[in-house]
Amino acid sequence: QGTEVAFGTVQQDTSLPVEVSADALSVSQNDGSALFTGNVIIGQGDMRLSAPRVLVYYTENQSGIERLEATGGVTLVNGDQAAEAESAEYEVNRGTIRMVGNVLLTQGANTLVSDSMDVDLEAGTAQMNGRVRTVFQSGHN
Amino acid sequence: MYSRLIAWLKILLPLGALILLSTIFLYSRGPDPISTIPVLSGGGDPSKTEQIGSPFYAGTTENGQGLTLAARQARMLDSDGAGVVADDLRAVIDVRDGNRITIDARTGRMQEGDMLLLRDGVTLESSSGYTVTTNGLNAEIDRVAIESTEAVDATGPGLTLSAGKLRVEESSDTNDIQLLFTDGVKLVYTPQPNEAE
Repeated sequence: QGTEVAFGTVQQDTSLPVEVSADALSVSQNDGSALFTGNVIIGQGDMRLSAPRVLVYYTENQSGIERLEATGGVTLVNGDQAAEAESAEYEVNRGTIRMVGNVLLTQGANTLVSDSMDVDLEAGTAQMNGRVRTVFQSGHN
Repeated sequence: MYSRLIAWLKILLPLGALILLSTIFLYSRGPDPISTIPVLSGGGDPSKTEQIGSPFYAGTTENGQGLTLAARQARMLDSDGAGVVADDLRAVIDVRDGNRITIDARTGRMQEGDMLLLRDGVTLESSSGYTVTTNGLNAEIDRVAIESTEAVDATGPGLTLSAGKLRVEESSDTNDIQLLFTDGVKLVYTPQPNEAE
């Protein structure tokens, strides 16, 4: 079971160019896989995904990037919402991010915790699945 | 009177012809063989500026990667004559499993100690789909170790990137060749939505 949550203020145009900045990038010659290391920040529109390591998977015909796999503690910020998880897989062309490993989503005051979360940037929604627990900041603000 | 004239003519005319003929051989322009040979003027020492046309070097690196160097022309460095400068150089590294790295440069200078300094207009093309352009690249020719001396720009499959430095080296364990972009990497990729379906 899971809960559908709005994520991101506006529908994200997923055909915007994706920028990746990092300390280093190593491309291996025989299988062409590329690994970003050192505070990697992936940005598209106002979405920022940062992680210490990101592995790049190319499409079969080597014509573009199919998905980016971020590991080692990932934070995803989109507008005023932020989500943290152990790892995330960003399907670049489809504009979806799958975050796995005690996901913590904060929206303004309340936070949701779950095992994994699927973010659809285009629709601006996030589907949290697994055991979802919410923590409400009651009262003071 | 008439026959005496003819008699004289019979002598004078052949004699004149003989004289005319001899002027062609005996009095021709004095041949001066020395001045006609094209001699290097200006006192340049020819051995210093000797050039090798389209030099070609082929060898293998320590662990078996084939390396060939070809250039339009190579000439000795006149200062100390230690280094050799090659113009329009192309270096090709053939990795064992069929991959290839091709480096083109306008000038390449061979230092002792097997270090090749490639300068101005250097492009490195790797069969993994990456083409890197920079202004300076130092390459060792006894093993695969290439390092850029300046920032580099590169284009890859569907992406462009720029980095502070590029190092191409063999990773010791898997002896696969790696392109290491360091000193800050910026990459821009524009997604192709139609790929997704």
